[in-house]
Amino acid sequence: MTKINVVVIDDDELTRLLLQRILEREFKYSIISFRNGLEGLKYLEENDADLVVLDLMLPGKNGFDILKALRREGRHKDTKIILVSAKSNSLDIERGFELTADEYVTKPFQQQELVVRVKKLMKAS
Amino acid sequence: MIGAPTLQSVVLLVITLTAIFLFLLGYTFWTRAKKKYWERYGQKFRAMFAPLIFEYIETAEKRRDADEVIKKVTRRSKDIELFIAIVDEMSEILHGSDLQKLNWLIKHPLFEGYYYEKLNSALRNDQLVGCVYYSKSGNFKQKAARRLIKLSISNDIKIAYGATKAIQNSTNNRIRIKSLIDFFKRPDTTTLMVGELLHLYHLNSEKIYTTSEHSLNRLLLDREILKERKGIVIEYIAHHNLYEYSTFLNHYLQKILYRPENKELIKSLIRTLGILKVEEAGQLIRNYSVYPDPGLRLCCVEALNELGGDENLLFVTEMLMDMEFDIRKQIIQTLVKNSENGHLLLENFMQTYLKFPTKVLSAGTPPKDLHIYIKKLRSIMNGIRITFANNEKRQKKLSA
Amino acid sequence: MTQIIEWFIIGYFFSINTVYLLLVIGALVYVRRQMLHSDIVKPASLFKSKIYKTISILVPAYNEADNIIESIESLLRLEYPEYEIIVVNDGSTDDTIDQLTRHFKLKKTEIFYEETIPHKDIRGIYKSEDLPNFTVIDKENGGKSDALNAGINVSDSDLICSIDADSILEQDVLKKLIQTFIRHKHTIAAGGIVRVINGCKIKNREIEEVHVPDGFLGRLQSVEYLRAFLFGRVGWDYLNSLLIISGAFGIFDRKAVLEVGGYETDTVGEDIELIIRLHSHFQETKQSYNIGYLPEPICWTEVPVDYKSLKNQRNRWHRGLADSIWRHKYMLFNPKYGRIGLFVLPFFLIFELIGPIITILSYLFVTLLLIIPGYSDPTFITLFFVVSILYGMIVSLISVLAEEIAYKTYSSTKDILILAAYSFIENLGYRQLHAFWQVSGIIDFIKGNKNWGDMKRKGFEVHPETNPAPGSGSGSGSNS
Repeated sequence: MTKINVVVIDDDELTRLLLQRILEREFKYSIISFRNGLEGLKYLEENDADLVVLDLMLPGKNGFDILKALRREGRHKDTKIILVSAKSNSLDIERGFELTADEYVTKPFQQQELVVRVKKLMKAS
Repeated sequence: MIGAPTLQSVVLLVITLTAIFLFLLGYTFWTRAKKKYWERYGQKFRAMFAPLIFEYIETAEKRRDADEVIKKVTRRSKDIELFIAIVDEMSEILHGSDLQKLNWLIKHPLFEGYYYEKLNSALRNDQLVGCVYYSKSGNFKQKAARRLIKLSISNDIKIAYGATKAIQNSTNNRIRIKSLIDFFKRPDTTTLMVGELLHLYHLNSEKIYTTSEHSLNRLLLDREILKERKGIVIEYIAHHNLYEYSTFLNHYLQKILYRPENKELIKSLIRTLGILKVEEAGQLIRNYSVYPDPGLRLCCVEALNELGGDENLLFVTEMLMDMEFDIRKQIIQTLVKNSENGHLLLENFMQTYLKFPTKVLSAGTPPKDLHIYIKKLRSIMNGIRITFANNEKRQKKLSA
Repeated sequence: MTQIIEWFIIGYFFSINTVYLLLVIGALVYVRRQMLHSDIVKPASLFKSKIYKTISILVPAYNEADNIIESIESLLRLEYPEYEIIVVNDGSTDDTIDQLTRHFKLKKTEIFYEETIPHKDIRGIYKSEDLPNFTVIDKENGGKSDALNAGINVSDSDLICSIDADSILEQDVLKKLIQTFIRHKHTIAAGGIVRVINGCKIKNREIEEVHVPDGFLGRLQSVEYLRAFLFGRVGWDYLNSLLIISGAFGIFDRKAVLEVGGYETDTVGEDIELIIRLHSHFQETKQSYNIGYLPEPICWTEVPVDYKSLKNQRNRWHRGLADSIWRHKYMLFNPKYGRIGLFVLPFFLIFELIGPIITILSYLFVTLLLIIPGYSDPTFITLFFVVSILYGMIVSLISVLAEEIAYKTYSSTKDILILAAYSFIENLGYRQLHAFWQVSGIIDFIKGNKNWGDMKRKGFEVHPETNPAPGSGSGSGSNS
């Protein structure tokens, strides 16, 4: 069984830690995380990933731009992407799905909820 | 030669200069070293406790389980504050049952005791720190409530604000609304504070009561509260679509007199009644829309646009030749969006007014300000054209 | 006779340094008070209650092809619920507009607006499909003021923000500045602290570390910025007498700017001139108003590091100041204009504008005394040295100390040591040279010189770890 690779890009330390714990604990995924959007994007340009968890408000490059960039080039056309954001206004959610994100989670969230959503998403692949 | 006093002044200044220089060096080194030390301490603390707290969230089932984690926290103030800070940060990320477990941590007697002491201290900083804690923990005992109420009427605006904010977390509605009203009556309250407290008050009211108790009415009725602040309350009602206040606000608009000091309040009321789509207010708003104040007219037009309906749209079309550009633009945008009646009204308008200049010109000497009139017409036509074009683009995009 | 001149010179230097000292200390006290528990009110609540105002960021661009994409990308990331960005391409001769069109997929469109302030013709307005809050105006060249005026016409927000294409803003700057507008109901303009970015370590478009510039001139300017712009401006704001908001970043109430007729296109000091005109108009019409300053760093800008660019910049600033004061000389000592007319403007006239002339003449005088035998007066010369140079050093040093107490922006102790050392150096030649540039600025103003000069921009190549960021190119700097 090949290990599932997950890339987490979020500028909040605790969020990164929490996501790492959840994904490792529940799914035994292998996680690599980044604080800075540009850094994360550069990594993804060179490496594959099965799942990307992306914050919207990031230093370096914002989440929407990263999403667009990832979908544009071949490597990540089918990678599952979950958007995470503290902004819960409907315009952002709409835009996220318009840009073909697979899921949108607003902060604050409940751990169980996130687990269920990820399970559903990854099973579909 | 150089006199003694001159020499003395030179020496004095050189000494001052050296003293400042040395002080600067000392201060810089000392404060930065201190800062680095505490930063590293804080990082180690987080590295140790964050996983512990996460584990606690995952495994805990009852309030008692919090003790396990708390045991590890020493009673040093720095540690307590760092711990609370971590839990606070986590409360921004998690909610639901996870949040509740975090609340068990916050409400633990260790912290309650520590911060209660701070609240009772005579030092301003400590009091503020205490208030901040109680804003987070909520649901406090009698003693704390009494102390907070006392602080909320303090002369120091920041303390009063901190305490009032904390009180909004109480389950006792009576003391919440009372402290809110008292705070709103202060002369030194800022708009930002009003906004935040209002939001907290309303948010917590919704948590406690299943039906709204029209609690905001009291704020609007109290004579001593500044009109400006009432305006904020009214805008808040609009922003959160609190329809239950529609009748009340309509009456308010009917009763309020048009005076310079009431103008802003009237504008807020009109805007809000529009957003809440209170049709009964239509007549009064139409009356107001012919007043000389352009800001007021603009509000009226915006509100009538929201209300919609044949009568209002027709009325608004007749205002199209208004003096103010902003008003004309608003009207055009609404009429264009309203594809059933709006377009028809615009067509009629164009047919009527397009004929006018030719009629006037053919009658002989044109009136003096005809060119202004023509300019306005041209601008309106232009506006209609551009708005239609942009609207079509938007429709295409939506249907794609 | 010489006695009188001597006393006058001593008096002059003593007072100007004392004023600076008081401004710095007053500002420090004020800032400390503000920052203590300033987080008691969270700006997030603003947005829950819709108390904020809409903002249009106007970016005048002339031949900014190298930087413009990066600038806009970083502007798009500001944290604020409702704002738009309007780039005004002022007839660039390079491929600025092409780059924008390609990168943002711009399409030509029309906007319904009223041309309240006249300006050079607009060739086209473009919007991006993806980004509803981004607009580009392509127009014929008319200068920075002209471009800004076009932007003001097209915008329909409550507030307009004018920035330089190469200013770097903090992400929460709009959230912070809006509080100035909310705190004082009738705020019509606000500025904030502009800091020097040369020497900072930038990685992945984030400022990782703040350091003093590497070069001699850069370091001198850092100290100067602390003394004159950082604490000087805050001090003036504390006294409700702010006269200058940096052209690198300023927010204005759009209706107020329209009321006074927009930016003046015929001057090199358009930012100062606008503020003075706002003061003039609002004092005349007896409307209640406020011009505020946020005592927090909000904007980073590059300072010139070669002699010629620096000289040109300071020359231009002084020409701008002279021009603005001259245009509004009717306000001087005129009680109709309140505190601004009676005290602030005259202060700027005497100490800031004419001051350099007095400075240069004083030095000439002292040199003469030293050369001509028999006239040498050791007491006077010593006192002069004390009051102009020693006292100046004290003020500069205290500014550095104040920065350390209030902000601690610099990332390492070494930076503070360097700044302290340069506090001494600043007064041993730089301030004097600076006065000389300012005097030549006045002469140029009298001669009617109106050009902008070039500023050679180095970009941020200085630190190898950084990304190859914006390269050099000529462009217009601005008053700080």
